[in-house]
Amino acid sequence: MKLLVILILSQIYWQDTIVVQADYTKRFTSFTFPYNFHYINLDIAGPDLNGLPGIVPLLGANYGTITLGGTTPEENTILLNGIPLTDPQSGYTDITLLPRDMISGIELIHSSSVFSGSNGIGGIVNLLPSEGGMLGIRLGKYRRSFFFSPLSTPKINFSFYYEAFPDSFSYQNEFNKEVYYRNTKYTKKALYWRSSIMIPFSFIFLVRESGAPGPEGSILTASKEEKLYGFRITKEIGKILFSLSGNEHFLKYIGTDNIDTHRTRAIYTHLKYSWVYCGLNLDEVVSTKIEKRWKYDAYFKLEKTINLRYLDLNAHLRLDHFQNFNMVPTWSLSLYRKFGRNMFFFVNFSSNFRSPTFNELYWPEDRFATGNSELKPEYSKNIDAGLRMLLPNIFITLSLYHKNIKNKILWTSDGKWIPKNFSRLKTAGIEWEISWETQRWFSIYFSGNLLRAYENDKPFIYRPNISYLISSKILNLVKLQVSYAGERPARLNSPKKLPAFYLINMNIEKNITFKKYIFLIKFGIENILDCNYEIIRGYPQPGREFFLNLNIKRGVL
Amino acid sequence: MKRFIFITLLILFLTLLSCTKNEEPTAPEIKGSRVYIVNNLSETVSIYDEVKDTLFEDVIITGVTPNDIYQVGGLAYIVNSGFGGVPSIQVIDLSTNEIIKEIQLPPGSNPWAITKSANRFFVTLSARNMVYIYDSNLNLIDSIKIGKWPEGIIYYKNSIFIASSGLKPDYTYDLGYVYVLKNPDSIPIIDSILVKTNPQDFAVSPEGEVFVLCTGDYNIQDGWILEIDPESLLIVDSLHIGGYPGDITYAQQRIFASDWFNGLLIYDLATGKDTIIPTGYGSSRLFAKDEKVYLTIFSGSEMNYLLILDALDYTIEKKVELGVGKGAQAVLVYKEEL
Repeated sequence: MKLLVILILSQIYWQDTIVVQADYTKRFTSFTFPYNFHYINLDIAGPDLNGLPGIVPLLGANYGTITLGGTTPEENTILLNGIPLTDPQSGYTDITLLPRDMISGIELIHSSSVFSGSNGIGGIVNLLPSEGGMLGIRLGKYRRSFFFSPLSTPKINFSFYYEAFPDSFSYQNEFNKEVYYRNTKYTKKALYWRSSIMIPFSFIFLVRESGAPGPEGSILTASKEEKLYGFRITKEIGKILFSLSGNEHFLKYIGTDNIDTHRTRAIYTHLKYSWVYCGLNLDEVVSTKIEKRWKYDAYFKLEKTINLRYLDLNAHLRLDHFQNFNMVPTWSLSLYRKFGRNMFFFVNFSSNFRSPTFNELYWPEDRFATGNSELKPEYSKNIDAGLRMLLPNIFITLSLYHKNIKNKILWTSDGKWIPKNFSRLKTAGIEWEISWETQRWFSIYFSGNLLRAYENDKPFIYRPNISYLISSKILNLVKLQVSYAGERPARLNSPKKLPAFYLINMNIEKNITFKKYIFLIKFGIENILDCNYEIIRGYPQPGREFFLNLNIKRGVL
Repeated sequence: MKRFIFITLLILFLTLLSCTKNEEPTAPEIKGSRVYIVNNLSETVSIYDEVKDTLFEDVIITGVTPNDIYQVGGLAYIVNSGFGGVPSIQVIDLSTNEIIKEIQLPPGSNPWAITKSANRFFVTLSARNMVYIYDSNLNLIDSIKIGKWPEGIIYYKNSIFIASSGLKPDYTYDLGYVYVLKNPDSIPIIDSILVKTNPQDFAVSPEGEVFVLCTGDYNIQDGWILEIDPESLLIVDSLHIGGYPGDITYAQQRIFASDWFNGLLIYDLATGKDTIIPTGYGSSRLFAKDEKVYLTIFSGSEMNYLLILDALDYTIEKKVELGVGKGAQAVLVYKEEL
């Protein structure tokens, strides 16, 4: 077991990501990762991202992301199977760029762990690509999608994805009037290529053409065109491990007077030898707004795990040197204790930081906003602790976390929008996961968050005090997902709230084997209650949607 | 092991129960003179009780991006511009400080300000280049196309004056006009006056003078205050003020104009003397009542203030802290007879 932990930890850190550990079913038997780690199977959890442990979704229209523990998007690192997705200009990872069929699960780990470092105050999220299917088609009221994987083996995967959404959908506004939210169209095309032959690598190419709708009531008709290339290569040479990853984003607007274009590049290199790590991260932007700029982050880190008889200890010390900033030290200390055969306890302490983004530093003064070259990095101290219990048919995790972020950077309106270091964000929460499989015919998954996020002692915008998800599978035929997000502040420094909402999804699915192929036929309804809801104010989300899904893969049931 | 599962589930259940606290604000009973401050960023109204020197923070939750507050008798009307939501007009009963009515305005129309003639309300819809006309119960009865991006609006001597700022989609400015609707309670007759760049708001004096504040384009074109003769509709005087003016009011034969960076500009019409009172960054909206002038200081990140000045000797009598990051803007003083 200890060996497994050490092996996993070193591999995780080395790849600057989280390695796929186990799938949902394996967790009942052998999955024993001890730290504040969650693996979420989206087939079980559903598409809404509400009530997942530690996660706060922030979804607009053709723009959105997830954050951990009530933090802001720039404080999280989001990867696709280790490929960095974050745009260094904004510090934001737009997960809505990815076709939904492309992602089968989410791995996440909170900041207070050995994964501390740049832009990990919230934590690290690793999106797991869907692999294994050969062909899939979805016909829905809104979303229509298609994927094709001509090569899908454990060693190599080559997949193409397509997804489209219509130009508008109707919803009921707060005056109970049926209105249309327009310019919501998109088409996404994606290519994913992974290989573990010779030199392991992953590659992604995404193109999205979409509307860029403003908030509710806006008459904006502009569209945008985005491209994203990303890659990750790893190689082991003797005792030295080497990793190279990066991405390039391109964005331009269409059908508007806005002629701005933004192109960013990021290259991350890491080396590991025994318990010594070092790396160099380079970010570059070429933008009509920011012009041409670049910045670097060079780091050096020592990390050691000590395995005692009843206790595992892990500690690290890291030094980062940023362009424009002095040396930034961070550290972590983790303790892990196993009780009996099935129960695990962990506690982690760490410090983290985030450096300002290009936009925050250099956005030129215009009518609405201006950057602030005087910004300092954010610093945080994080603690989390929890219990995990594994039994043959029950899995329980209950954990607590606390993040205290100083020098927090927020854009505030002082005549113009300007980023400032003025605030302090404190978040504390309880998150849980309970899986219970009574018999083969029934399973239930219950996860959620109790969160208190306070910015300068006022409740922080869009962070619900409570959110949870209950997902159940009956007779391998019916899946039902109920998620809830509680009231949450709609404005900074205000008692104004966005209303709580429930989302219910249900589908009926059936596997049929024909020769060497498995056909999965699924008919379902998302948002059965046709709930009108917003996660980011002014960006209504679609209502009830019927869909039919057909997936084909090789194999026998 | 069963005990552990039971305790875990019990803890979760109890914690879920503890999360149902209701934090809705309640309207306090305030009598006598009070100041209503519209917080544009937090989308609330705070009330400052002048008699008890007490601030009641976030008493009323407004609609989306509130921009104007206007009083008629015992009611106040809040214009919510609706950026990121639905624009609306909310009606507040000033005796209870509760919202008693709300009507929706066209989505995306960016309503700016409201005024009332003898029997009708007039609302500028900036993004529609229109003025909506309502009866006294806020039933829509008509609409009129007016200029380009109309903003401030007042009623004076059986005429409605509308500031057509000339704002264009590329955020430059066309010529600024003041449109005048004569005979507004029956069939209005429209007239117009060419003024300086970006007219935004008005002040009127008991002596029959109408002043329009032209804020300029915050770049090349400076700010001006023009005096309009409401009978002939001619510009009879002008005052070059430069800077970044935002609002204008009249009290005690003086014109008061807020300037975002420079503070409060005062021009004495009797003596021709001008004075600048430095109030700090973010001087926002003005209201004059009796011998006092009320000025809000706007901030999205720091403390917001209400300044109460003596209109004659310009001393700041009171500086009320309104809270951090509220975005204090429109202000209204209501003096209830006790």
